[in-house]
Amino acid sequence: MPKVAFANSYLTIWRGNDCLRFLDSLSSNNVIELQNGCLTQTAILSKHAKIIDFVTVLNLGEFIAVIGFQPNFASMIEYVTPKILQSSVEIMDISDLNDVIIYYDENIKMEIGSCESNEGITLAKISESYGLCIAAKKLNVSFDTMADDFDEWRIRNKIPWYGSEIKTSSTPYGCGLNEFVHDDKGCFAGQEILTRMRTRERGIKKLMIMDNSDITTQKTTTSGNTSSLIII
Amino acid sequence: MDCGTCETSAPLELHVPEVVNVDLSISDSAVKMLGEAFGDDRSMGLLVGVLSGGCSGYMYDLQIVETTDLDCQEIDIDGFRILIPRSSSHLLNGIQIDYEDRLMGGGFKINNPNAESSCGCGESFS
Repeated sequence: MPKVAFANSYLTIWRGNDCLRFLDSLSSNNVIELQNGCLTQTAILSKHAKIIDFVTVLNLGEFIAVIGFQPNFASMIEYVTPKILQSSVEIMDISDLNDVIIYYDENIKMEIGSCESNEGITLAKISESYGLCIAAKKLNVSFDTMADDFDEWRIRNKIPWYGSEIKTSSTPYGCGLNEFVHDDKGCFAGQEILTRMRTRERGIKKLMIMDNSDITTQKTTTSGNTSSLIII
Repeated sequence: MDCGTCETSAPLELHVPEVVNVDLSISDSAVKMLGEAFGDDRSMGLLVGVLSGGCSGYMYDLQIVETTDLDCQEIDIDGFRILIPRSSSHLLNGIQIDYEDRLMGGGFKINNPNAESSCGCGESFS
């Protein structure tokens, strides 16, 4: 199966009784109901609904694993930790102990949205043909560095990615993360603004695949050989 | 995944806010409502805490409790025990607890001089 390093990822584990509620209160998707052995993806948002980081959250029973984009790590921690207050939440950074690897173009026999750990390797299936593999560094699992092949696959499958589509200056509706905003989960940071955008139909953009031959003045976010991703 | 449990990975150093001695006030209408809620039983206390969440990042958490595991400052106002978690004291110093009696959006309200902004329903602030 094609495997590439999740370049510039961080991996944290969160322990404590309030982890899911805490993360739910600061992010756009429904996290609070995340069952043991399941995963979800959510955008941690400022009160202005700007993305602080887009993270993959794995409920591994003993703890919650949160995987995000390393360049956003410092601002994520700076934003999140003052809000812990009286909540039972403890965060550890274990990025140095593990490799986070993306597998794609491969249908692993697991339920979509599930995750499981076995002998130092955690597999998380995000969609039909795409997921994450977290391997203890001491296992020396082999993988490629991020390459054009992965971008071509992302374009075909309309997957937004950090730095290309997902930008911290944007709201989830401005960078193709619309499906990661839960419309009726209740209050969360930035929710009023997102609700207003949705009800007034303003600022809602779509991530689309466009043949390169059809691209005129539009600015692509990821350019491929024959088609590209574009946000309009 | 190597979760670091067997290694020496320490939890991230968290931002620890300064603990301040909270000064707060309660409006007459709030005192009246607390009197109705507590009756003659003054063993109970009003816990005024802050949780993450709401539209603006922080959310008030009011509970009537007998005891709590949280490390709190205890303030006596008009015979009522008001409990403020020390971890939230920097956000709650100077607040006024008010009660608004109206059909929609009524109930206990916190007027907070530390809040830069609050959401439409008033339950959340930043």
